[in-house]
Amino acid sequence: MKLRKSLEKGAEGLLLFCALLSTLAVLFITIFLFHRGLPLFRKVPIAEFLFSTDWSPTAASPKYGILSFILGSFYVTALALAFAVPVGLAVGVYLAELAEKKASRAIRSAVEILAGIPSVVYGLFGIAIISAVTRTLFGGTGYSLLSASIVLAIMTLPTIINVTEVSLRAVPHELKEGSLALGATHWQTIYKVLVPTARSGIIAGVVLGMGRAIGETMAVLMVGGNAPIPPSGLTGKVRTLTMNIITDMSYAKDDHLTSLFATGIVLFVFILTLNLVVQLALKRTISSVEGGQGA
Amino acid sequence: MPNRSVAREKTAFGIIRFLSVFTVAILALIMGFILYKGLRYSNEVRGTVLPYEEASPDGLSIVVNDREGLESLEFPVLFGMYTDEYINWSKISADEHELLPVAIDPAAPDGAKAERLLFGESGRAGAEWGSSVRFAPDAASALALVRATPGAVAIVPSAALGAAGKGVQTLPLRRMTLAVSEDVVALVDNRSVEDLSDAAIDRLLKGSIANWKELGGPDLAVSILPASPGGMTAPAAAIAQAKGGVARIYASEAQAAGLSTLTRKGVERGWNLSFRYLVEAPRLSGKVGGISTIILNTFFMLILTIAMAAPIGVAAAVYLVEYAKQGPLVRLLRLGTETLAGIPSIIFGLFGFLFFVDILGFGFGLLSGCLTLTLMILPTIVRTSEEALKAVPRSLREGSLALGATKLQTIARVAIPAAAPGILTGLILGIGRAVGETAALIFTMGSDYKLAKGLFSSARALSSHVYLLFAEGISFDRAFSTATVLILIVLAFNFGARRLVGRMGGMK
Repeated sequence: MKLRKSLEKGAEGLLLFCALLSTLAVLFITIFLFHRGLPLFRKVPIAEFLFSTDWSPTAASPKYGILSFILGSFYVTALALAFAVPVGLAVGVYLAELAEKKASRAIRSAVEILAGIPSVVYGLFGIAIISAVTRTLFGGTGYSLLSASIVLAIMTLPTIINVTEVSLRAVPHELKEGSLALGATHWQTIYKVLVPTARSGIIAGVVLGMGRAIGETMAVLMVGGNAPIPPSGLTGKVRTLTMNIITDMSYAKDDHLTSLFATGIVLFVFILTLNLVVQLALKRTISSVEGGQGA
Repeated sequence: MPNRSVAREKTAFGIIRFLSVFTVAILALIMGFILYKGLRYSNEVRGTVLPYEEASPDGLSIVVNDREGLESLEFPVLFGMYTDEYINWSKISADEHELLPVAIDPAAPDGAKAERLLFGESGRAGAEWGSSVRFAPDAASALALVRATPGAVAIVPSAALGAAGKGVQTLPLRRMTLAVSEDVVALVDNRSVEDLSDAAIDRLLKGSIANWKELGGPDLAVSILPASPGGMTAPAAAIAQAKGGVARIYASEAQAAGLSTLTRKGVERGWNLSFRYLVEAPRLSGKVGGISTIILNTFFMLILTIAMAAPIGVAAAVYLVEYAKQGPLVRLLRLGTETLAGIPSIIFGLFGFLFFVDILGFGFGLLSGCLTLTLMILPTIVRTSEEALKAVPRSLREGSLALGATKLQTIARVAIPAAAPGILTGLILGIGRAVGETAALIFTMGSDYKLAKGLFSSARALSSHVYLLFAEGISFDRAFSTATVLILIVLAFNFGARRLVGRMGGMK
């Protein structure tokens, strides 16, 4: 009996350890990334690292300025969201409010498959079709900010669609029925009642998509052009933080390698901030929905 | 007023419907395009030889030891094989065997025929066999040599094939070219005849083109020379003497007579993804061969990853659902899982490189890669398993506990089996994510395309192969066919997960 009890206790401990692993992993990632990347700032002032566009790590007097890549990540992500958010919202509304069973099943499978396509495949598709199309329409090499954002837009679409649909469905029925009973049309109800109520959830979805877009590597690497200069316009080449890491990783040494880990820190901090925003926004949705139900 | 809002509603819903269909259309475009490019290739080819194949030119057959991806042989290639221009097959077909050109001794009548085929009637006097050519006394011994040597090629009389022709493959020869008289290719006002498409060649030979000007050449009437009686080709001397003359002629004759030939610009289409591509090992960085070892490496990777991630993930979910009490600890654990889920793969790659490869000293290999992947897919598994366990009715657990089972027994024998379909779905979703991962693997798992020999051996997975084929400029076509295989695997997992979800719905 005693043996059994200690067995149960031991099992619980083991399970707890497994449950702790994710948290430990985050902790480890943070510690090791900072431990390996921070020493760069003993040699390069942090302001120069963040606000200089001069990236010449292999020069005789190396310069490590990643502003170009921060801007690159920022522009690519913003443009991708500008494409993806309207479409994602529309499809989310369609799935939650308009679609009949058959249509919604078809679209949902399509979204699921889109979410499952590996990013290298998106990259190949981007090179063969999107680069070619932007090259013919807007000139340039086709490997550009614009191409990268279009590919990213397609990749973030599933996230935005899913979260929009879920948030819209979480809106209490009484609100919708009340609006309809007051004589509002279905569309008025959607954009004056449902979407505003689901707002924080939708924002969380957009931010989630943003995180995915900022962290994406392979697809943008293949279509972005990857020039270590500040982005010069829609058809200009672009290098993002992720591209900078993966491009130089294969040959970087010493300070150069450290600077890549420091680039990783910047990316990591961005992502963590976005995650925090999502968690807060989602918590607000949940509590607002629960509050609505209580009322 | 109501009319306007109805109209507005119609427009809005119209736009929404359109965008929804648009999303499906994007998916259809991506999938259709990748599958099409993966299955078929079409390349532009330039050459002087016309696409007219002869299975048995002059009663001779060109035989090779089984050749991959080679359906016919162009005369210049055959000529090059027997004149030391090629030393192995890598420039000719998807192969890297050493080339062994075999010919029957030119002193024998069969050998003389082959010599005529290669060097032409008029050029025979200056026949220069390459130093690598191995001469056999007769057809039977030449065939035996080809059968025994992987990279061998021979020219033998077609009549000698029969039973002796077993185990070798016959290649048709393409040796017809379009020769013109010198005044056609002479550069006048910087104008020269353009590369001709198959359709243009057709029109030219049918007489539909009256002047070379129409093809970008000089202002000169086209004169098509008749073929000599009983053959398809015109005599070389006639072509050389005619004004604006053009005719079909064998490449060997044109070469021997020093005639100029026109360039053909054609499109070659064929199957990209063949069964062979799936079962053969890659060679020369994937330039030749297939992807069998890479597929196997990918499956090793998935099995190892899931073997690590599944127990940990399910255990974590069990703790969160069955043991943990709401409070700061659970909130911390949830936060950890959510945060881990949001970390981009490149950061996992950096961490894996730093921790598993470097600090723990596992090096670039399966183990480092799979540990990194395990961390990546852990949140997916924890979350789906949690949902599945939560969905198991309390009554089941209570029944088990009431019968005297301990908590652990209840979990292992009642809760987990009842939640199995949901847990499996999570595992499959995790695998789906792992199989498409590239950025986290390149700097943890290495990129050796040979079969992995152990946990520490560097291994290349399908997704990395797609990227490297493109990035190293090896082959775009091959990148697409590998991507097709990758997509089919992902779709299979996706489909499997959906079937399981469907079954769960049925159970409820």
